[in-house]
Amino acid sequence: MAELAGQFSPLIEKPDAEMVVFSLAGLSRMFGDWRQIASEISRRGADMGIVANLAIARDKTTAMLAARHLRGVTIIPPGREAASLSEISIEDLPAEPEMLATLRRWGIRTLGNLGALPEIGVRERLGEAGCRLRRIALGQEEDWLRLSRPPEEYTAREEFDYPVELLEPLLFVIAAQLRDLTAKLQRNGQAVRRIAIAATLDPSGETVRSVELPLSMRDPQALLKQIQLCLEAKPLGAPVTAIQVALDPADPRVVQGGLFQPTAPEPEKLQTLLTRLGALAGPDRVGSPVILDSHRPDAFRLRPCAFESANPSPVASRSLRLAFRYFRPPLPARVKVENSVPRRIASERVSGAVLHAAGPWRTSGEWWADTSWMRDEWDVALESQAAYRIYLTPSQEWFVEGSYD
Amino acid sequence: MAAALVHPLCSLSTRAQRIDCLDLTRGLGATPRGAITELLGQESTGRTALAQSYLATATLGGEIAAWVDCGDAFDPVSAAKAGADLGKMLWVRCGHRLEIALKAVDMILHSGGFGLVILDVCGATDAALRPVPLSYWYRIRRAVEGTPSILLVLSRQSVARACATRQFVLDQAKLEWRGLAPFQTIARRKFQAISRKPMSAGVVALEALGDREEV
Repeated sequence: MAELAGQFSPLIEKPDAEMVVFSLAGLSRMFGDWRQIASEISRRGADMGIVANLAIARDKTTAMLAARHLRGVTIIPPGREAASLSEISIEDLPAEPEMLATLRRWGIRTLGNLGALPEIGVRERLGEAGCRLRRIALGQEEDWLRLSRPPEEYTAREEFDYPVELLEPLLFVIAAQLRDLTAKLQRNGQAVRRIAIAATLDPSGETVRSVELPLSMRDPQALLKQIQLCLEAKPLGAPVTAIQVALDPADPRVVQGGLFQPTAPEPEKLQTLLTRLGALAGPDRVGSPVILDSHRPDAFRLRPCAFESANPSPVASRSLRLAFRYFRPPLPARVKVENSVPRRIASERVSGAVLHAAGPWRTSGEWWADTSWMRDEWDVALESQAAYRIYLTPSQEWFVEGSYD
Repeated sequence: MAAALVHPLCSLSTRAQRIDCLDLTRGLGATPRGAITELLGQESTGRTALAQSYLATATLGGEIAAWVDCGDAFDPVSAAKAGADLGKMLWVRCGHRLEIALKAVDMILHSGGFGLVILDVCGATDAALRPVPLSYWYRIRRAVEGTPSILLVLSRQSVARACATRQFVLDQAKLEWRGLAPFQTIARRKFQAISRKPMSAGVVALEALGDREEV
């Protein structure tokens, strides 16, 4: 029905799934009077296979009531609203149950009964809500259309006269598409969280690349850089005959900065930086560390960075704490043990006599998972005064895990 | 008054001209903004402990920090114990690839907005560090100059050489244990720090508490 209404007017309201209300403003010059307009709507509706009631009235509320409760085509000329609606039951009014119960107690059954009541009396007894019902019954309630807008699509497609092999000319075309699409996003107050690039390849085939953005943005330069880095990391693999860019709209980011907040990386630049660092070092090697809830040594994961400006926390005076430095992977070592105590270590990077050893600290866990571990740890100080953590596995292999620095 | 307001607040600490070794223990006081500071020393000399305390100061101060980890040695648990807000840091694990670490630092500095950038090349061998041309360090110095960022380099020996504005050499002094043998834990490690650049005759003693909890 929305499609049918769209053929007559851009001003459409969809109060619910079964009803469409639209404005007839300006249609009389094209089709004639209301009867001719109704005839045209009926004809096109029949062509589209739509079976529905149609009502035309001066105001929205009257038209909606008539369309919902009067069968077929109803045309209500100005001034005839009360008569046309008079037979409709008051149960169909948009009113509170208590209000309807009161009207029933008064013997009011139809809108005609309600419209016949004196306005002052209704106002005294039922207040403004009662007066509104009376105005509806008389067809005098004026209400505006609450326009519904069709979902906006942010897609641009470009077909080339000849296949494009290089990335640079392709990005030139994508940049122009992004400028148009982001301008449209800005007009509608939206931003983008996901970009999909579909390329038609020569001689045949189609490939799709998508870029997920952790923050919504709409700067065309930043989006273009993201696409460039994505296509550099995962090339399309063949000359391109057509390219389509589709943006998934999202609500824009709202940030309130503060005068005394320290600076933070701009989100657009940060996203570009993270993508470039991911391409450089590996996408799983860049992020903010999160310590896992586990006693397993070196249990952490990296999560994507999402920094926000924040007010400084009060910094309490802290003692310096000895830090641990991991050898990743741990260094295999040969350890000379006397009386169950390590006395000498020899490994690729760490060697020497043990001056002091503390341990063993036996740890184990997660026997139910692939990440299970079991080992005896020692803290040792070598003759070089350096302190290390070494451990012995159940298979009697020694490793140097790291140093205290 | 207006000029004071629009002046970048985080660059105010660059006004402190007189910096000596004692500032090592005073948050980020020893590490000027817009410049390269080197913390040099052998294994177990407290370079990482100092760097993590700076990391804690920066992140708790609301700044965003980056730790470019050439040798994959960073321990998030130690950093958290030092007080760092891990949610405000970017960790780049370079997998023992020095070239990637240097490129990553360059990218981070050019991106801007990071209050503290730490380049950890402690695990890199002399043979890997020596071929890095000085021009590369000039490029990095140019990138950090005029920004409110601190670039802190942790290394065994000076790598930025003439491009470093400050150099501190750390040395280990004493390791103290606590508890009854054999189940002892490291109580504290004492260090000495000497300012090599600017040259300072003073030696400052530092100490770091142990990592393990006492049993």
